[in-house]
Amino acid sequence: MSNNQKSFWTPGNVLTAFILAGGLVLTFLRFYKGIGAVTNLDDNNPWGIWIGFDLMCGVALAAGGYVTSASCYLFGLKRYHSAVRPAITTAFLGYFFVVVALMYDLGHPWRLPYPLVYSQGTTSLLFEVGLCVATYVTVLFVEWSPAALEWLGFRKIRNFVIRLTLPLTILGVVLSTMHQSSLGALFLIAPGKLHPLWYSSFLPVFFFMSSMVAGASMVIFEGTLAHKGMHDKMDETHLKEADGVAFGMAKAASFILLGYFFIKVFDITMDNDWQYLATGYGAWFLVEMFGFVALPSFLYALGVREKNLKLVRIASVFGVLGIVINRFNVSMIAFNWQLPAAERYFPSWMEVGISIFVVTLIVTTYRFIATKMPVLYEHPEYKDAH
Amino acid sequence: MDRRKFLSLLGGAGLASAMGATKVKAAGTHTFNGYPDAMGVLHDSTRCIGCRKCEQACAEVNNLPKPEVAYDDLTVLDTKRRTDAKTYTVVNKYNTAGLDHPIFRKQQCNHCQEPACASACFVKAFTKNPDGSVTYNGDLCVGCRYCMVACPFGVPTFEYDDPLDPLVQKCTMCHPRIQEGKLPGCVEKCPKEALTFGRREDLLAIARDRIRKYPERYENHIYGEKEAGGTSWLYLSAVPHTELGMPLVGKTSAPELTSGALGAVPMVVGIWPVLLAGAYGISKRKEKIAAEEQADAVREAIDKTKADADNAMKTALDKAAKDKAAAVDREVKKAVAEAQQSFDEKLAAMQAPAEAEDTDAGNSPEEEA
Amino acid sequence: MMKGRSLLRWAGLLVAVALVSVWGHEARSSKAEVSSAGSYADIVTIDVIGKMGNTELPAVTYRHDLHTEAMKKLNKDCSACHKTQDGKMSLKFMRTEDGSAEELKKLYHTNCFACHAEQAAAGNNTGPQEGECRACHNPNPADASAWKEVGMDKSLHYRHISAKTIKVAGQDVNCGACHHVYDPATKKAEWKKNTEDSCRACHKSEPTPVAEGADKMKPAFKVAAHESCVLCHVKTTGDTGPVTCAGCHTAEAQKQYKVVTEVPRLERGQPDATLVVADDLKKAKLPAVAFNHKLHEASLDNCRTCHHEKIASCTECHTVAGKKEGNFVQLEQAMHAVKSKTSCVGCHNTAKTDPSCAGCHSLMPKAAPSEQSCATCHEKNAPKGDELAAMDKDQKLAAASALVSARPTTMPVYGDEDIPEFVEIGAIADKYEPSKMPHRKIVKTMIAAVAGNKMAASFHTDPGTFCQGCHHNSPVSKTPPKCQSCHGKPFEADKGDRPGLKAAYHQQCMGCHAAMKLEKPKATACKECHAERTN
Repeated sequence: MSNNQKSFWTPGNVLTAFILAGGLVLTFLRFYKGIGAVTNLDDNNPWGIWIGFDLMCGVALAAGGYVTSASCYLFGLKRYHSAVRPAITTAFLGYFFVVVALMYDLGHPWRLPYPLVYSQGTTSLLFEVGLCVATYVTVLFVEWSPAALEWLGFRKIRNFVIRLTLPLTILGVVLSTMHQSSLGALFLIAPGKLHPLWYSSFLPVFFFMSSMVAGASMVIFEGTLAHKGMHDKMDETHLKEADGVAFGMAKAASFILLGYFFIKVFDITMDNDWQYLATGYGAWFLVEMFGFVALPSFLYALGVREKNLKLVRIASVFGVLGIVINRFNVSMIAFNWQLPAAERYFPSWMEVGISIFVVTLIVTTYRFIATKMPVLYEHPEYKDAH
Repeated sequence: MDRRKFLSLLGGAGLASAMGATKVKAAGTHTFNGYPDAMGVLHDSTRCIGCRKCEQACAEVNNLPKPEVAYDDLTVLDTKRRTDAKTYTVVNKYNTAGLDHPIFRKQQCNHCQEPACASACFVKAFTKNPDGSVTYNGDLCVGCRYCMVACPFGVPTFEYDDPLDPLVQKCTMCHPRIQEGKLPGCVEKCPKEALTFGRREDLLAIARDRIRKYPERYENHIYGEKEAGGTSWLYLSAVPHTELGMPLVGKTSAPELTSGALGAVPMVVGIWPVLLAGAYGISKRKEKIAAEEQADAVREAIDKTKADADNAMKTALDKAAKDKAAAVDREVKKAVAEAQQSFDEKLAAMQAPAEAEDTDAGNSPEEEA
Repeated sequence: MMKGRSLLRWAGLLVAVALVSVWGHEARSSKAEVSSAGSYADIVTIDVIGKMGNTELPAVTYRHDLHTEAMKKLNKDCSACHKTQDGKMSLKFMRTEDGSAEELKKLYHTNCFACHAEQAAAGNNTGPQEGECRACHNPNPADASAWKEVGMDKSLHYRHISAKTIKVAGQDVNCGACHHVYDPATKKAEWKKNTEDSCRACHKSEPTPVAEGADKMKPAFKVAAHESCVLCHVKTTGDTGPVTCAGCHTAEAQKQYKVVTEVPRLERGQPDATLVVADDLKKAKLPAVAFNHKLHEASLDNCRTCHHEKIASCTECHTVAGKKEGNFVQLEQAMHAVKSKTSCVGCHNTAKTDPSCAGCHSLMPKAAPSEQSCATCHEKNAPKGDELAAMDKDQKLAAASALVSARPTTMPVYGDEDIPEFVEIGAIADKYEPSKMPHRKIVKTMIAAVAGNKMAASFHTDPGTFCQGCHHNSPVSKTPPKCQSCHGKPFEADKGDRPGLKAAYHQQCMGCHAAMKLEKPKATACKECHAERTN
């Protein structure tokens, strides 16, 4: 950004300030008057967009961290190296702010450590989610810390942490597999409440597979945004590798989406749910499958073959939207499908406001980090970041 | 460690495990059939007259606030109600086709044998007590509301309007009262014993007996016998239970639905690192091999180049030697020829004047060139 | 990038086609909501070829009334489809006899399509054309069947026998118009007096030989009934019966029939009273049951309820050991089966569901008849064993008559002085004042409700029997025990399902009121029975 103090208030920053201010007001309302005053949640619909979007989409879209680091460090695909730090930063911020968003949704947010340290409900998949997310946030923090340490100049600590990259990456993939799938597995417990087209004993598998797609798509999508907004912060390696990263991620995403499409078809066959396709929910399911699974798979493949970056970027938008739609469907739209229309849930504007507030916090923090710290470029003194 | 030490340790371990170890239950053969003396309540909706005395009693024993509409106002039955944070139980009216009178049914927590709420709670805030009731500990609750998602009957309610200590609220089966040997409030108040309290086993027998004695009065199905793994609150009805708003719930309990996914977690923890380390190892090995092959290729190239160079050098040297020899040859020949010529000339010159002088006999021995 | 753009366009087209094809594909299960097209009583399933074993296509669902109406509009009558032979119209389509499967197929197709094609050409709304196979050969038609069985009850029968339009030549009664019996001597079916029976006695669901080993077949019941009823209705002018399917076979039409309330007794030579005698008197040792046939005739609106196959003695088919003719239903079950509609006990149980009776009887568990009621039918002084075996028909009839006339005609009751006027129920008075029950008024009202009821008179043998409706599970007595003798605290493990005292009162009182369909007192109107305590 410019050095001139006056031009700090760019349109983007003005909007950010407005949203942050509004968010603070809503935060106050939420903690002063309770959840009921701010949301449209009720006894029939205990989870709304704070879980459906902030938590589920947030965690899924932050999957770029483990996808990129696994590709680069475990599978040895060196050309992703420049994408690792931005992805890890996104992931870390994503997970961190998921916990922040959770503070709004929980009745007793200060008791969040209870399941970890005080009373472990090990029969619960939510316990599994909580444990993994807590551990993974820590792992991500450590994985991300070299960027901050380099910025701060703490060489010795930074060098020590760098040596941990490999075990942390493995741990990251293990933890990600578990909690991404467990987020889906949360709904295994309510077969009567989730529409048959979405309910499956393979929900964990579906969520895990789609999280990989989410990660890949977000790397491309974010890369697009970063290139537009923070081009001058990127070093030569980053710029040179950027296209390769996009195409590589697109290839992976295309394959995984194809596989995902097929296992969804198998699942419908196994549960014999074909008759549901001829209903309203069935039509929406087909839109999700064809418009946001099959289509991005195809567009990704086409983009890679034609070396068309624009197509790949369009596909990544579909990919990201597809994940959001899927998580929305499982948590809110196909959930409680059996209830009459009058008892269904729709978010209140205040709930939406807080979600926007949290997303804005993530974006703002990312901008700060990427501007100040060696994320989009390599620090000249630490060229050994392998 | 040497062999002897190892074997002795093994023997010691085996001995220790043989004595005093807890019985290991083989997976798959062990089932928990519920606490043997678990109590329950049998709700016979053919007896219920919709007087709402049970609702009133529940509010009294639980010190719940007075509702907006008094309990003796039966017009509220015209709309379907559900439990909420201040109402642990409601009675609803159902007009079923083919019957000339409505049916009333009481709704509250069913105190499942394998409660979904207890399974779902990640801080163990719910407990299935040996007396059959499922109770909630508000001191542990984090307020995540997963129990509300999990319950197939949609029972738990939440105090959304409390900013500081919002708790989950539901029927407690009057756990404190039954611990004292008293009856649950609703059971005690019901004038027609539409609610029968007793051991769950005994209630099932009573329910089956009623169906046997009055087959035309009852639908041959005790709701809660198997639903969601069995519940402590059982229902008898004159019509199919789903016509009285009971959800169609399968036999599988919540823990059974999630145990597969939970069991996979340690497997992932064990297998993934192996796979990923393997992938890493493979990719590193590939890199190494690629590097080695590259090094080999380079070395080979260098060697070949060197050998070629040597050959060329040798050929050149040979040629040079040959050239030199030839040149030397040529020079010698030339010198000899010259010497011969000079000798010849000298000889000729000598022979000529020799006629003049015969004395100098003995020619200087001329070299034979 | 032209290649990419065109590829993209093709991809989009493919996706659209895929979507449409999946959507339009009939991926529907039978559970998917089927809009109920309507329910009709005139659905005829044409499966004559299928019955021959040829099941190439499913049976045809045919709407008969729909076609007769259409024919009427075209000024055509039955003869458009039904041929007449020997003065009698055949109920088969366009033929009097069945041919081979191939011939039948051709017959149906040619005739049906001819008419449909003609109508279509004329621009009228008509049926399926040639090639629209599954429109007719439809295994799961959307239309539901509203077909209801119709039978001759006493009222309808009386209207027929008294109808001026039904006459038999040379006879002053018209029984012979419908009733006939096959005479192997004359090889003809002719009326024989006092052998009238239900059509079903001889005409079964499939054609059967007219006599043992005969070649000639009598038509199946459906054909016999329609030939007898519909053809006559068609032939008769003036006041006559329905000719359409819906005219007989719908609940609505049946409700419209004129009902004659006082039907004179059908004279078929039946006894007023008869003895029910088992075939094997060595096994059946109880005294014979004297059956009041005249009374039971009057209390039912048809004969088939009891004479469900044919008019004969029950013991002809229902023997002690059971035999094939009786479907192996033994005599004991034929008489005593609790849930049956045709057994004595079963029918009596059904009678007890009348509101006047149900107040007490609905609260009693349905079980085999009590030992007290056995003696009501199997009277002590009825003939049995050897004495019975030695009796001839007339002696048996006389014995039956004597026994029946000796039976009580009214229910024995206690005098007012023995029935407490008020009973104060206050043993557990807590939130409410004791209830002052108008005991005598209630009892006398209930006695009045069954005043003319012969069943009550017969089975309530002791004056104390009636009291057992409320004072139950105890010996019959003029001073039955108080409720609290047996009903105390609720939910005691050794008491099983016995209610506590509060529930005993409420279940008994409210249960009776509900079964008797009383508007007052309302179950939820607590104060009407006991005032609220104010303190």
